Amino acid sequence: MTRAIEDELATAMREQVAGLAPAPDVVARAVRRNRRRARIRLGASVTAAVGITALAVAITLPGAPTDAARASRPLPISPRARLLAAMTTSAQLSYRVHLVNRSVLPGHRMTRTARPRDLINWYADYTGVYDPRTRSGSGVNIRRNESGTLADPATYGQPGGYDQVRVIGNRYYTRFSLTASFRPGSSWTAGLGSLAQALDLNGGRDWAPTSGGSADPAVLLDTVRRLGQVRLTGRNGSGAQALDTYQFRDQIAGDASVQPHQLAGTIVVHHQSNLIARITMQTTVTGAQPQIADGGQLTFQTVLAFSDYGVTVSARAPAAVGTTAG
Amino acid sequence: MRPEDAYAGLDALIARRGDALLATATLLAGSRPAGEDLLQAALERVMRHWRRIRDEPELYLRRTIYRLAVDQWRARRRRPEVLGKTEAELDTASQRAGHPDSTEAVHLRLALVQGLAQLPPRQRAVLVLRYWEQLSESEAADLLGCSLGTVKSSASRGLARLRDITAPWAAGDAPADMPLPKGARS
Repeated sequence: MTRAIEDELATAMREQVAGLAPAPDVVARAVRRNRRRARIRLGASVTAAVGITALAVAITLPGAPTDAARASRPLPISPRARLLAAMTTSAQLSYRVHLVNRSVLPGHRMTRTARPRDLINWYADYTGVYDPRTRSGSGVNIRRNESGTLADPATYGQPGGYDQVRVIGNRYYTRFSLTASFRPGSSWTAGLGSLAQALDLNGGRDWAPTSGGSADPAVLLDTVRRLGQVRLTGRNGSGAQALDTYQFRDQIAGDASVQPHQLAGTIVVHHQSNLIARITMQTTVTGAQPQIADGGQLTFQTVLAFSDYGVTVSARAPAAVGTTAG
Repeated sequence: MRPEDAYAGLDALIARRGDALLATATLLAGSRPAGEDLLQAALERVMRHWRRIRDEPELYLRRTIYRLAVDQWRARRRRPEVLGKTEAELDTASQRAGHPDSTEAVHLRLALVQGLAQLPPRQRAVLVLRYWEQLSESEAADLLGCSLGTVKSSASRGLARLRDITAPWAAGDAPADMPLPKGARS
């Protein structure tokens, strides 16, 4: 090798990209994707509101009643009233939560000839603890690889990185690592908001605030009140293992961006302790003006599983914060 | 007004500078498809802030391409695919550039491009800025939003890694049957 490596590198780069030209419709495609993203953000506000509501609903009534006491006590008037009662009269308990949040393009074609398939274009997988009394919590989010990319399909759903997350009051702190271990002293990013903002639920891909994601119990209670329809659909198991399942549906009005759509899901409650065990919810949105934006649909899915009520939570703000999210 | 019309300035910019921007994105992302993805993502970012930046869209777009390449691409761990030109295509490219080269030189450049794609995103971005865009170290630091020291160390480490990879050529014992990049047609 007689030339300097810098010269060879410059030549190699020039040769590699010689003759490249962008597709003629690159700007038009970006416009369409930008509009789709706007719809994602709208859906995010709805689903995040319900998701965080779910976190707040996971609060027990004080002094869980015995079977005998329960039998002698009149049942609340409606399932919705039971959930409201759980919200308003509950003692606040800490808990562990596992949250999986995905947005999916259903029946999407990557190319004209490809078979349609569901593409995941946002995938968060968070496990952490939270104490509503101190409004603090911590956990780790696995950024699972999306399938709506040109990457190797074998990597879809595999961990693509990890976020360490802390939520203290109305601020959150995150730091990223490619592996599940976080280097001590690596810098944190801080921002205003709760877990919804920290995790960018539903694919809000920058650090702009996501509305409806408040951890304020008053806001959450209001969200429960707004749920359109809640009904008890059944009970599985018996004794300490008994689980009550509620279904809820809520009609979301359309606007300039999306058509009217329905939010639906289930809430599973430990019958004996009246603690929330699991919440599943889903909504699919369609653009209001498919003749202008693309006519495809977007589905948002969230599953929350709760455990370890009363767990000790000792999250603190990091000592050194490198950057502040916009 | 059609939605595209709101971004008429972007259309003009892409018509004028699209080739160079896609080339940069391709070098940063490691392949043409990934480069197109990166350019598209950067365009979407620019659109979100269009009112504020439309007086200087190219500066903002270039900055966004680099920062996405360093930050988001790393965060999503979109491992770069190795650029997929074949030896024949490289021969053609070098002849078009006016300097027909030996097979050994072509192999060396293939190895360099493969090595570039395997570098950490920041080192790759610094090398693209320094040796593709021909920016100074301070200009590169300004565009990446990092310190001059970071640029110097990233360039130094990146070049050291590339020297390691191309050591056989320096020693005069280049592999006779060098494997082609993943995806390249032989």
